Amino acid sequence: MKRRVIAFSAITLLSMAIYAFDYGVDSFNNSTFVSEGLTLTQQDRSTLWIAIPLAPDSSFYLSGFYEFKGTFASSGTTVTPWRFDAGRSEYLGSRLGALGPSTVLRWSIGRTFLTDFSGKLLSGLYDGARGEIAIGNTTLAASVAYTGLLDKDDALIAISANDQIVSAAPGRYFAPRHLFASLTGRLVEVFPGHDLGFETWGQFDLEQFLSGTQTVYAEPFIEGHLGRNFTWRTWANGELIITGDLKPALAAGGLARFVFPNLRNIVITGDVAWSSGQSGGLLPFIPLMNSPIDGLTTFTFSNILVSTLSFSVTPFDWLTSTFRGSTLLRTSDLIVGSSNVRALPSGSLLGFEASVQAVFRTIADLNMNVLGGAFFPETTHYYQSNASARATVTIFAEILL
Amino acid sequence: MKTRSILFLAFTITAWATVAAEEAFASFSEINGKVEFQKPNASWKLAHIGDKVYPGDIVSTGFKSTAILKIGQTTISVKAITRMTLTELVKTSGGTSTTLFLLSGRVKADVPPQPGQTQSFQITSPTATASVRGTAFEFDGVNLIVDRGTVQLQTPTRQFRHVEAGQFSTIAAGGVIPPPAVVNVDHGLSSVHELVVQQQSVSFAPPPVEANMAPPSSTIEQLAISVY
Repeated sequence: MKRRVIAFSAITLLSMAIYAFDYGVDSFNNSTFVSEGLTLTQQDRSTLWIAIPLAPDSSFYLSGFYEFKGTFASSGTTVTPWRFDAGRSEYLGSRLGALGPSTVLRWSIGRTFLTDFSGKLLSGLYDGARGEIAIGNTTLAASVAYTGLLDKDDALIAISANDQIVSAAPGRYFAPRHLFASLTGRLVEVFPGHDLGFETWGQFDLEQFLSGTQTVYAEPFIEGHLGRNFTWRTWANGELIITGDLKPALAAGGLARFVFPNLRNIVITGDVAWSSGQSGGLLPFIPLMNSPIDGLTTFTFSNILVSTLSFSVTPFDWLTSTFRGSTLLRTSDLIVGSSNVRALPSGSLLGFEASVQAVFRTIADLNMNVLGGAFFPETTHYYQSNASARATVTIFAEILL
Repeated sequence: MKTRSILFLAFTITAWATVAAEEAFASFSEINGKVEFQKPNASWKLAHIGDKVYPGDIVSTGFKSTAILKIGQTTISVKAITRMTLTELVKTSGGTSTTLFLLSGRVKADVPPQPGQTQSFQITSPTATASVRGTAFEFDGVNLIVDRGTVQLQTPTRQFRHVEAGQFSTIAAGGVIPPPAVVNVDHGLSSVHELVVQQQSVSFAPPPVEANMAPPSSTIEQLAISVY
């Protein structure tokens, strides 16, 4: 009898708890074929997640994933048949009136998403914490993050030459140990329809605390809309590189967008992003996350100027097509890229990129998109004359259960 | 003597303004399905065209039921499964001031500008406040879409944004109001999910990614950073 009571109580309690939980499995397949070296990269991931509300204003979100990754190229095959890791896993919440009647405090602790305003400095999951206080139309935030528990291929840290050596060590899974910290502020609608803000970021090399490369960043920004259809944003990022002495680097960018929702949701976007190279007393800009710039090329955001014009249209409710063209230039004489570059390249133009992307929305909870395009290298001055276009086709499908 | 005169004048003006404030009410001009209203400390009554709703009255619509309330030139379309209170309605010679409390559901308001008059119109909900002058908009307490004019969307913590004609905004997680996005306003708030998708598709903010889609670092052409 006692056992039955315990079992009944346990089932009842569990049922109550499960009722409040939210959970699911998200799976995606990402297949990318690159003509250069006839390379096929296959990535499959299944993420199990659970959201546990603790109180009306706070909850746990836990997730972990299994991943298969393989690269099949004419030069050889590399396969990682399994990888288990934590995905977004955080304790998050918000509290109204925490510091007065017109305030709201928000926090997140754990493996949480961090990005800067431009998304060029860093954008990804990091282990750390973020706190934010909103006082009326002013928002102040602080964050701290540690990279040493992340997969090196997720963290993509290449701040110093030592980071590349550490990452290249055979069997090394974790990223080089760095500490990131930020203090940010945003004034909402400080001008009609416009937000103004300022972000500061700091990076501390824990691998070589005294002899490593420490960097600090200051990133002012403004964004807003003029009239109904036009939105824009611009930002700058001043970097100080500390390696015994102080050396500056710079980056800046802007984006303008026209949206016509009543004309098949046509969106026309012009985007420019510039990062300094080694010229005029500046050093090459070092982002915290050395991810490829948007597009098909594999260049990272340093010593580069990218101008992109894109045209997006939604001819049917289930399809959005985007056509994109980019021009890529280097911003100093430092060499960008490695394969097929001339021994003594000249000129700034690296090449052009053209792509088309189709995003399908046929079934709820199924995301699918196909991206195809090519990078056309400039072969007169920069790339060797026999360098051919680098074509890429990516098929991405995701199911949310 | 002078002080007395000023006091008398002030008293007279105040009294005149009070008398000038008309007994204001909204009236049902259209009813579909089951629509009820309740006066304070009274039971629910079925609404009929022409019934008057006074400050403090609660209006409720059932499934597949809608109602239109008129306050002068202002039209309030009350959508299905909505419960709202007419909190304040004051008409003076200078204009009309209206406040609704939206407990649940959705309303669409058309507040045309009146020459020489101030039209103050506000809809509050537990989550946000939409306040307008000379506009037409739809609001469900969280999501806002504007047909004409400009609406100020404000959270209880007084964060606000102005949402202009043809734009949509919402109260996101944590009580944040993201920048308004241009959307197709033809279907109002009938499909909020599509509006949110449209808003995200034109948003500048990089999406939080669960999966890092960057290729392995070995395929990235690193810049020669050994110059340090």
